[in-house]
Amino acid sequence: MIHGVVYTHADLGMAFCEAIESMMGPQQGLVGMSNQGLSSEGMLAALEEAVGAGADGAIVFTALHGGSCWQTAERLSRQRPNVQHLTGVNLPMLLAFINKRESTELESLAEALTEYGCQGIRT
Amino acid sequence: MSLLMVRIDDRLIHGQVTQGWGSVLHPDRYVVVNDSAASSQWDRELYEASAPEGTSVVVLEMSEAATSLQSWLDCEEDVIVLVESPRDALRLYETGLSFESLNVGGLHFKEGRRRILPFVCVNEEDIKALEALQDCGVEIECADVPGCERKDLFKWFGNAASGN
Repeated sequence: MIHGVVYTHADLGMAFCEAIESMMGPQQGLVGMSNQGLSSEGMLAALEEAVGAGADGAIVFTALHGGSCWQTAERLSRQRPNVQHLTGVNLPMLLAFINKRESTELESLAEALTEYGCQGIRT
Repeated sequence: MSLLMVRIDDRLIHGQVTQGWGSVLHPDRYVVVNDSAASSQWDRELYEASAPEGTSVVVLEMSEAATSLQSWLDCEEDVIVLVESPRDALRLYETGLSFESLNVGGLHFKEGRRRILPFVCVNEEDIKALEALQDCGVEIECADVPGCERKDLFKWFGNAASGN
């Protein structure tokens, strides 16, 4: 199963996961993380641990392009070919992740989730 | 150019800087002075890609920073300078960049550092460098984000140094 890590500021990453579980029920392989109080090295180590070493790979979701979580996820996805990184996380993106991660291969999933995330923004 | 802020932050460019301080100070340019980042093309590109729209990021080696920054003094640019440690702030000062105040914005926990504020951990070398800058007349201001209460770092240093 492809793992998901929502990595952002304060408690937002954990809150995203709680919101998903409040709609979809308990989830395996989906964790929220905060960057609070960590050095750059500490952030990278924590993210590596959260992503794990699963053969199916993982997607790291961040919220802010250019932020420290974004930089850390860029570093890890560069080092690990089976880690994809998407920024601009929202609930439609995460819902699609839960619904599609067991039937879609990692790279196609990341591409599809970008579209679902964008489709969630409208007037 | 005017120096809007010289800041110690071991994350260098990130959300607190570009979103928090950037929205208050409105810099044209962020200058990261860091030998390690400057030596890696990938790191330079990562930081350059972190620039919010309408601004730019430049990553400089310590040895070239003071000269480059001074040479921009005549330009109409407002700049935020970022270094990762008190040691680098002192090196920058000693290589000729004169600044009147220094923001301590983020020194996160590493082995050998002691936490004195939620966002500031220091070791002996950090304390000595900050004291040396203060002795040069640099005002040390401790604030991670705009609008937060300014903390007096120096009153905490005794505890950090003695391990209490």
